[in-house]
Amino acid sequence: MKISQRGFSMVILVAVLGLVLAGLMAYIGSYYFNQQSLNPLTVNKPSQTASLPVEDPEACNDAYNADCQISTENDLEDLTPAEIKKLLQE
Amino acid sequence: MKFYLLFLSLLFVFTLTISHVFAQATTKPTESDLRLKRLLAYQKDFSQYSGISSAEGKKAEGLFKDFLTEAVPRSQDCLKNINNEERKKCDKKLKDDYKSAKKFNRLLRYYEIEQGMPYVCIRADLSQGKALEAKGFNPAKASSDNPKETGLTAKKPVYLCTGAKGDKKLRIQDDSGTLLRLSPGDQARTDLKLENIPPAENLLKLKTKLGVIQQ
Repeated sequence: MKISQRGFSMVILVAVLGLVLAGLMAYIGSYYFNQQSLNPLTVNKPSQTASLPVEDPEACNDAYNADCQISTENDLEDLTPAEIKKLLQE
Repeated sequence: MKFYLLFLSLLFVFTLTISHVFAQATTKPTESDLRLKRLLAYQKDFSQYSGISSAEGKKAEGLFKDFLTEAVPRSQDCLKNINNEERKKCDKKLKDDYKSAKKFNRLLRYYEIEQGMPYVCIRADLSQGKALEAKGFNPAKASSDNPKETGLTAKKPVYLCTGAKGDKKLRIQDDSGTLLRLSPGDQARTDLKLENIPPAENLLKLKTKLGVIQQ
């Protein structure tokens, strides 16, 4: 199959457009997923930190060692007063 | 014409695949990334502790600030490392730094609670020693039509919180995130009386670990 000069330009144009579209979709996709993972109150299973598997067997072999119950997100101690106000039953 | 259509279809599939992979890659931060993110958040919002006025609290605040000033750039530099062995060392160090930062934050929140600042919560045991756990009680669920619903949660960590007027209260966080009162049985426990929270030995241990007091 022979590709004409015009046809070749079209291919290049479509390829460039495709790359731009890929970049745009990746940006939108990453923004969307980041928003989901950053929202501290929507993915809420905070009180389950107590039953998380321990991370460091050397330091955390005691199930009642409170020092080992570490969670990197949704920790009550990291919430703002406004967020705690919403959760607190007075 | 057929060639162009085929090419366009292939390009479209390629575009979708690339965007999907790219989006997935950005959604899965490592534990170290999350820990660093928390350290950065502490550093960025450091002014949140400015209400602390006790001498001991001020000292803890200063120590925390110095700690973050050193730990954050070190962690950022370290995580750029792609060498596997070096990276493992970074992850370990960052984990220790993260634990220390959480301890500092917890202690500073304790000083806020002691000063009567509203809507603050910390682990009642200060995450030191034996964990304090209890059942929560939800009166709304207990009075529902379902006879099997007792309104009691499973045993969970106890939190020391303050209400609107800075008044102390003990709470249990249920699976929806709500902070419930303790079950009637747990309210009667001596170790869960407000005057015994946080346990004195745990507080001493935490202050000593962070260098706020010398033992």
